[in-house]
Amino acid sequence: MHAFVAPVAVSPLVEVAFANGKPGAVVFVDHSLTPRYGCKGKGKGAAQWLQSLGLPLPAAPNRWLPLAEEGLIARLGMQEFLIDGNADVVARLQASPPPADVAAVLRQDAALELSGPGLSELLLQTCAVDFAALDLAEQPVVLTRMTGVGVTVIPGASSYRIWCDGTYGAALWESLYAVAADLPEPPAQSLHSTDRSSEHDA
Amino acid sequence: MRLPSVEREWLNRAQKIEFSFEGRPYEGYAGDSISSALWANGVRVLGRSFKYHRPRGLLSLANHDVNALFQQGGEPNIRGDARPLETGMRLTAVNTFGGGVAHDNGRFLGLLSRFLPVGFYYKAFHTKALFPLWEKVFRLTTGLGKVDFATPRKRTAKSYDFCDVLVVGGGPSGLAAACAAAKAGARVVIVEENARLGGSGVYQLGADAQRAAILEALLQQVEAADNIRVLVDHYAAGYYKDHWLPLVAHAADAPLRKMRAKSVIVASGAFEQPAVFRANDLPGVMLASAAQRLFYRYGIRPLENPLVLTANADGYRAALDMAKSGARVAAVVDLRGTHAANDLEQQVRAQNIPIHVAASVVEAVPGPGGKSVIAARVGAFADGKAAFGDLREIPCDGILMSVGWAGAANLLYQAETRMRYDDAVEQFVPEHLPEGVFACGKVNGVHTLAAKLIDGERAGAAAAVHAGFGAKGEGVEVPAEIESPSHPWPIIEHPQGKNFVDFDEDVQFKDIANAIQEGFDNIELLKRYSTSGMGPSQGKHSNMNVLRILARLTGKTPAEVGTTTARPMYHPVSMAALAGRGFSPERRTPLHGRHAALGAEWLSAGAWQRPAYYRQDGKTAQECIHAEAAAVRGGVGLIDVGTLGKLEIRGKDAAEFLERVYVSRYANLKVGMSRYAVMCDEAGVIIDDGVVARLAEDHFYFTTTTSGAAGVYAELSRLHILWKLEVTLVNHTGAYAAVNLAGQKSRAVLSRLTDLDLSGAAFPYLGVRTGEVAGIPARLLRVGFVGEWGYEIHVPATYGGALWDALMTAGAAEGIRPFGVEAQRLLRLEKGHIIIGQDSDGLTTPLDLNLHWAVKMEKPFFVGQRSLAILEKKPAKQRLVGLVFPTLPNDAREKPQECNLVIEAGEIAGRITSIAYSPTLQRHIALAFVRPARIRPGERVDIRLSSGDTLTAEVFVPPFYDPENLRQKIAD
Repeated sequence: MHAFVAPVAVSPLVEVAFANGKPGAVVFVDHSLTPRYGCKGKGKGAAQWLQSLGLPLPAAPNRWLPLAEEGLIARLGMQEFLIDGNADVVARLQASPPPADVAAVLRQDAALELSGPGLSELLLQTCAVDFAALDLAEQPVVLTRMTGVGVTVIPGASSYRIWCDGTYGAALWESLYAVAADLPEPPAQSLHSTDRSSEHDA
Repeated sequence: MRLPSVEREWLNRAQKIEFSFEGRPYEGYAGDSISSALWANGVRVLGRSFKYHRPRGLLSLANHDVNALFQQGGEPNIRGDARPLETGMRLTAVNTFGGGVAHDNGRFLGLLSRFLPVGFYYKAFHTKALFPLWEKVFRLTTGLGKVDFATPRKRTAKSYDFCDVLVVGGGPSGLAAACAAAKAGARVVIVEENARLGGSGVYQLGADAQRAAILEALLQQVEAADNIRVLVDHYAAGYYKDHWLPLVAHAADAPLRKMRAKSVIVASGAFEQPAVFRANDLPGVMLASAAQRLFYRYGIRPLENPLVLTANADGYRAALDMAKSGARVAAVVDLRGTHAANDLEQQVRAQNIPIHVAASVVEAVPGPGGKSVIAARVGAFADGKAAFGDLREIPCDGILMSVGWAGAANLLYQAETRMRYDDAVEQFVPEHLPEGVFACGKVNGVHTLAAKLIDGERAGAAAAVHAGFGAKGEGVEVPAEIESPSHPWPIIEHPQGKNFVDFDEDVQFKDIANAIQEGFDNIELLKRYSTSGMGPSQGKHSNMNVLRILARLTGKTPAEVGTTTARPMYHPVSMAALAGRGFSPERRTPLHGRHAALGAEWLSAGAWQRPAYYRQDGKTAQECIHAEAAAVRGGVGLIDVGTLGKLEIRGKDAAEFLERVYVSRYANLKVGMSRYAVMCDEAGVIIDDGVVARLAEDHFYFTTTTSGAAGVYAELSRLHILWKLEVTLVNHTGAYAAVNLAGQKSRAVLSRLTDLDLSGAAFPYLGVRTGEVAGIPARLLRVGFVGEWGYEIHVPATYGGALWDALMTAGAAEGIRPFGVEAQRLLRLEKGHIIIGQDSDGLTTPLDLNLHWAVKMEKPFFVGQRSLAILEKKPAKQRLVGLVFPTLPNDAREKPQECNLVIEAGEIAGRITSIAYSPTLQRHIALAFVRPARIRPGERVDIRLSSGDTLTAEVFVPPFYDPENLRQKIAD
């Protein structure tokens, strides 16, 4: 029987998130390592399964709801869900094998949080969605492309959460950072979240 | 001359600006354009005409003129009418051949004008032998401005932008429209190409303070509205589907905005059109609106003693404005016999300005060198013809032309608006607008100020309703024009010519007439043959007159002649703005940093960056690659295969789905085993391959090629919808890191990191297991792409680095070595394993690749089965074989390469798809397509090398290495 030191999970942004320290008007936070779970299914399987585990369900695709205490559940399609930011819920889901008509989706996303006075301009330069026209009270989830990368976006009043395929994470971060660095003052910071309470304020 | 401050002028007289033109210093003010500053300094010759190098002054002062293009340093073709004056500008004219703009040596070309007929370019190239000569001549004499190829690259931002209602044009009707839309609650953006809002409301005043007050009130409304955003110094460069409009700034470094609007109002106004008479291009002959702009915007008296040639009320207003500027207006010459603007006529007469009706200027009389006007020759004009017998010469220093307008309808045409010619206003106007597009003001055929305001309000309210704001109201009646603002024939057919129709290209009336006579009697053909409308103005001040001439000479109406196509861009857009900042996202595996630290030489594979090989000090690329391959053959190597597509399918129909998608059988695949998988399209062409592993009865994990992953997943998703099978498909390509641990010592290395039973019996070749490796949950597949005992290990991407480090540490004693794509390609070639896309192309079937064994035609169905059944019965055209080359000396002049052709009886009989020097076999080996008659081992085929030499190779049945496949069953 081999015994190993617990392996270290590393953010897909680890090589870029600290490499950029240029001034800008946008604050970048890497949330890639927050607990996350995904599932999708055929028919009503995924929704019913999550409901049976006591999770709230957004009423329609492209909507999200907060989870009790912390974290969120986003409905990415009729039967596709993303649960993010609640370690207890994620652990419970991972410990509960899904029914036959539901498949677990391994979520190894690059996850960012963007905020700051330059955020609107950054979004305008990198994404074709009119975020300003969205009604935040409806808790929208936007699946779109940003700098050519497929992303899931939850817009908030003061910050935006963005998820993408981890293998595109570095490219997305670098492109966003390059645009942000060209925006006028005030200075940006490059942060990694160590405190889960700062994960999102969407 | 520059006047004392004029009310509402655009200048900041407190800020003087020094600049130079053609080496002479001048002074202007902040707020001046280049053209206005030069005119204020008395500079009358701003440039030279394109073809005959005639002296040219201001024409439109509206960003159309070829006359006002300048060069500054490496920046060519600066549009002087629009570019703000900047301190220290060092400007020159763009089209001179020595001697500067004042004494341009190119002026002698004008003497050759009779030898430069219409269609000269086409005629010159008619004789093939003279082609090189003419090419040299044209390259020498044509082109505007000089490009500096050392110009540094600029990174110009591009930005999306959004609004409910976009109003293109900030003149009276546009402002009224914006206010109406904003009142309904819409988010409104006004885009105005000038430095300030107001449009013609600022300068077409006729010295009437009330008209100025109306505009002032509108501007105050706009300023007070929180939901109106104004973009001045920007123009809408084009219209694209779904109300996308690129908004381009005059400022060089401003971002290009890609505006998406719910409704678009085109209030772009109209281009004032010149009259055609002899010497109508002399400096001092200009559009009346240009003179009014000079006065009201820039505080300049444009001319001291102008004559106004008109055919509308605007001309009378221009005369009044010139009188207000202090000019002594020589006369108003009205092409018409009667008109309806009696009050304006009375005001003009009250200024003691003579009015000549039913008369025309037939000729401008040039001053010395053709650089000024000293008089106008005026004659009677009736039924479109001038009387040359009794001409009156009226002294003047310039002629202001106000004879008509052409709607600035470029965007409307691009939006596929159906236009009609309205005889009442002698102008094309919208007949049917596309949904969400609205028009108002002059472009809509509405010219009277009061009517423009009503028309603007109507359009603004309607656009707001379309965007979801306000309620649809009652129809609004816009008052009809009391007289046409445009003359149907402001053209004098002067027998001595030089009556220019197109100022950009020096096209005269006779050129158009001759082109029509030569058969170019279609407006599009006429444009191309005569080059009218093909210069910098893109016909903004010539198309309408060309159209009128064509109509008259062919006996058609303007409506029957129609217009040319108005394509984007509206004005020239800099390459920097068009190119902008580009995004080409690059995909990186979780091991990217490890590869970089190991000295990876990168290779692009689709969106991915992969290590081709790892650099070693003092070694060539080939030596590095061979050393990596040797490590795998002799011990153990590690390669990142995380770029492979990694898909998962779950559900009771999962096996059935795969049976339909791939050519082999998977329903009978045992849990815990994997099988090679080939995918075809409907034509039976091979499009992808990989490995299918069965994790449970209803659960499969399968791989695709690196470049095929996204396409395969998209196609499977489509088939999933089509077939409605009970499955769930998941794309885990980016979620899993994957490595291939390969070589005889791979098992020994792995055994230190896992509790899985790695014996051949417990974990056989093609087996698949789940377990932990270095404490990381993993999926392991025993595959042998490189022909050795090996494992593909897939782990969650965030643990990719930990897995790599653990394997490298565990294998240190065995001399584990990372290997790149090049070594992998060599190793698989030695085994004769194919790569889809390299050893196949868009026509290759599995039969061509000798994959008959994998194709299970007895299955009820799979994609491509029907086509393969047909192809199977036909004679094969090609087959993939192995080739072995004779040992070549190290200093061989040339070695065979990929894509070298197989030649048989002088004809192409195939090609090499993969080739490499095998250090194991110590010779070049290849895969190649040959004719089916040549597939027997030992057949000799001729290969044509890149130099044309021939090299003979021998057909060989792969594998070249370990033909018994024993190596992948042997491990320490």
